Amino acid sequence: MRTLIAPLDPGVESQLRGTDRKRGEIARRYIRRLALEPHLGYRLARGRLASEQCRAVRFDHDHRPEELFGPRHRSPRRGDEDPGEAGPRWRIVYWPAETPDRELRLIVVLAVGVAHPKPGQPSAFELAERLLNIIQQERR
Amino acid sequence: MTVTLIRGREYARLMSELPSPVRSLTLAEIEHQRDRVYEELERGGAIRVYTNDSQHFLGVLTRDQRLLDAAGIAQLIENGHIPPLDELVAMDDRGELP
Repeated sequence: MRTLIAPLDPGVESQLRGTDRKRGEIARRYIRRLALEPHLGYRLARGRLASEQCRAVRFDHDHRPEELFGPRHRSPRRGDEDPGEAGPRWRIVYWPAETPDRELRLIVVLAVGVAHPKPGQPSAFELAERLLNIIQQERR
Repeated sequence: MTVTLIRGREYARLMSELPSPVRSLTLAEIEHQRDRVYEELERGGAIRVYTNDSQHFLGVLTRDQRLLDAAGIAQLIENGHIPPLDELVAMDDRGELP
C-alpha cells in the first residue's frame, strides 16, 4: 500500500508558518514521516474527531522525527505538574483513509497547533474540527 | 496476554464479515433511537434506512471502515480539496507532496 500526504490546506500552512521556525520544521518532518508510518499518531478518543478515526502526533521543540524508535530522553514530569501541561505541547492532527482496493492510503493533515492553549485560543483539536467541517461541506 | 473467548455463533458472524445486527428503520426511528443505533453501528451492525412513510428504501447506514474511507476520499475530491487520485499519485512521483 502506498501512502500519500494530501497537499496541505492553506489554513494548515498558515498554522505551520505561525509556529516558531524550529517547531515548524519538526512538524513538517513528522508529516513526511507519516508517509512511512501512517499510524504514528495516537487515536483520538473523544468527539467528532474520534468518530472520524482521526489521529494526532505529539511533538515539541526537542523532538527528532527521524528517530524511529522514539526520543532518546523524555522530559520527566514532576509530581506537581498538571498532565495537561507536561510533555509535548504540540499536536499534528490528521485523518487517514484507504481506498477500497487498499492500494492507496491518504493522510490529510487537519491542524498543527497546541493541545491545551491559553484561554481564548483554539486548540489543535478545535482547529482540526473546523477544517473537517469545511472540507466535508457539500459543494455549493 | 489477553485471551478472548468467542462462542460459535459469534465466531461464524465475525468470519463471514457480514454486518450484525441488521435492522430496518425509518429516518424518524433512527433519530429517536440515536444512541442505540450508534452503538449497534459501532459493533459492526448496519441499518437499512427507509423514508418516514416506509415507502422508499434509501440505503444502508454503516460504519464499515472501507466505505467510510471511500466516501471521505471521494468527497474531498468532489469538493476540490484534493486532486483526483491519479493526479495525486503523479504529484507524489514528482515529489510535489509534503
